Amino acid sequence: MARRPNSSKQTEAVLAALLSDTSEWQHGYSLSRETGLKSGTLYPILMRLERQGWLEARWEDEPTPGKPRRHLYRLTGTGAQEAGAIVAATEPGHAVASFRSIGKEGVA
Amino acid sequence: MNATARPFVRIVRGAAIAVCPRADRPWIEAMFAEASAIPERSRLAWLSGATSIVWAAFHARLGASLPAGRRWGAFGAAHVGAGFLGLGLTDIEAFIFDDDWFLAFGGITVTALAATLGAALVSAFRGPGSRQNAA
Repeated sequence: MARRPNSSKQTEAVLAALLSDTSEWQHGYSLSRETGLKSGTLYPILMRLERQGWLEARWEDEPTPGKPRRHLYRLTGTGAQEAGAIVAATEPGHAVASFRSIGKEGVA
Repeated sequence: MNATARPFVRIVRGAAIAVCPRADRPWIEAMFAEASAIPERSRLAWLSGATSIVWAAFHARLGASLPAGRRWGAFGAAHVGAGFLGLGLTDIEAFIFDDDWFLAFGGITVTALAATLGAALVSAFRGPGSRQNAA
């Protein structure tokens, strides 16, 4: 049977981290720390999620002085719904919390 | 990355961006930008992740420009060329054997091999989405 897309453990961890607050933009490093994934694993997942329309990315408006602008990420409305379904299948408790967060902010 | 970034990191970043397909470049930029914002002890591991992504992208482009048949051909030519050059350097000139012929064949084989590999490398850099082809 074909595996559901974006259902690898690593991708699920990224989706769960992004679902923890769907309204907040997150940095790559914070996602890496939250998921325990190395950058070489994390970024290909982020790239794929963005291509699929599950993730939106933008550059920081006001960088820390002397530092370059950082890239920020958050789930799109579609991404939040799909991710919620995937995470719900593996971690019911987490998914409930995530869906509450989506409900509060509204899905774009 | 900012002007205070270490020259080595800037060189690696420039090479990485040149090698990657255009669609992936903002992500590589993002990884290098992130590297300058994270604790120094984690920076090397972070950059090695970026390097692995760049290497995978470049390897895919090189593989596309040098298909398996040509890759095996190049592998065979390298051995044949080395064999010819080895025989060409024996200094044996007797009966119908003249090592100079092998030296000439070896030179031709190695030159053709270098040209093929060079063309594949150029093609990999100029692949879809490269800087040269950018609209």
